[in-house]
Amino acid sequence: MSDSWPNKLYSLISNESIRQLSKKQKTRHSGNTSGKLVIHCFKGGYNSPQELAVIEAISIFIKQDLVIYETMTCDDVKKTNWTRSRLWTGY
Amino acid sequence: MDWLLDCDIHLIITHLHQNTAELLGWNISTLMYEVQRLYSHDGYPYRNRLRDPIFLQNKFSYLELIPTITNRTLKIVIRQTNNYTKEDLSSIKTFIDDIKAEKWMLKLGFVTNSFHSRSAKNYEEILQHLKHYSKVLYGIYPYVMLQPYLLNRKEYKVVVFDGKAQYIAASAKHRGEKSFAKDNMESLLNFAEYAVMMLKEKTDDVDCEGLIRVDIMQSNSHDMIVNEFESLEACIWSSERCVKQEGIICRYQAAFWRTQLLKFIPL
Repeated sequence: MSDSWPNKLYSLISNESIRQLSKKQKTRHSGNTSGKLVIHCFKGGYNSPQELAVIEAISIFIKQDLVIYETMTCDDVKKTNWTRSRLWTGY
Repeated sequence: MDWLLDCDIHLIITHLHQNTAELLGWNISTLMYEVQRLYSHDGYPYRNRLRDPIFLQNKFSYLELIPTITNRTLKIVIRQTNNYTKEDLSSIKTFIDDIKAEKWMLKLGFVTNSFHSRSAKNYEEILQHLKHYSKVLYGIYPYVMLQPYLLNRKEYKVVVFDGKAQYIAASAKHRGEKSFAKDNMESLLNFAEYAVMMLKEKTDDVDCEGLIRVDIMQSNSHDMIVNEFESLEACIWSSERCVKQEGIICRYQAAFWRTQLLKFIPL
């Protein structure tokens, strides 16, 4: 099994994607005043099997301080008391 | 969903039912409906990927697409207060008369680790279990699946990435299991690739670019069959001798997630 495909992708995107991400910040949604791209990630449990890969994928953007990465777990939902009825009725 | 919509790019990196149905008791059907609000929002999943039966773990939905390589399955809607219809009961009778298995298995879709699975010896026991599901699970899970009980409990979990089988992940041992591919692991890998390819041919909704774990069992007539597919929450631990492969897969997955993000950052 070769890992050449991820390596190629990484080298291809590293500089250009950061430049484009900076451009995209200009079209961010109205509520966001941070000047950064906001990523919201629902990960279910605390130890999500995919999270390591996701963090690795966005680390380059985080290092450049271009994104805000926020996560939510089911436990967060439970703590904030988002019951089924509140969730579906929009409280 | 409001929280996921209130950002530039949303990501859902878990199967939707994980904890939400099991711990919070949310209604799966409503959840599947609500998640469609992300249809036009940038992120993963979006558009038709929100209907991906593997992402949703809508197990009957993907099993019915590939009936020739799965255990025979009857979908039974869980009714309120044990009010199963004449049609429900007659289809169960026809199903078990037709197959004539020694034992039966009742399994839920949208669950992991055989949550609430029950075996039954006959029609009467099946009805008892349906009564239990009606009492405990109505309003959370929409349906239960009835299948012939598989006598060989051995299950192989094959890790497939971008349609290509990579390795066989470790799995827990079960009583009554008997290896059925010990001398021919290649056949397992080929079967897993074939199953994913078959699914891909049947629907555009399934995301075959990323990771899919194909769980393979042996039918009572000794054929390989797909027991289930998993993706986002799949445990892909490998046996000790091939730990390196987990690292490689993690790198593949990182590339996959980066590709998903880049769809919204035009080059």
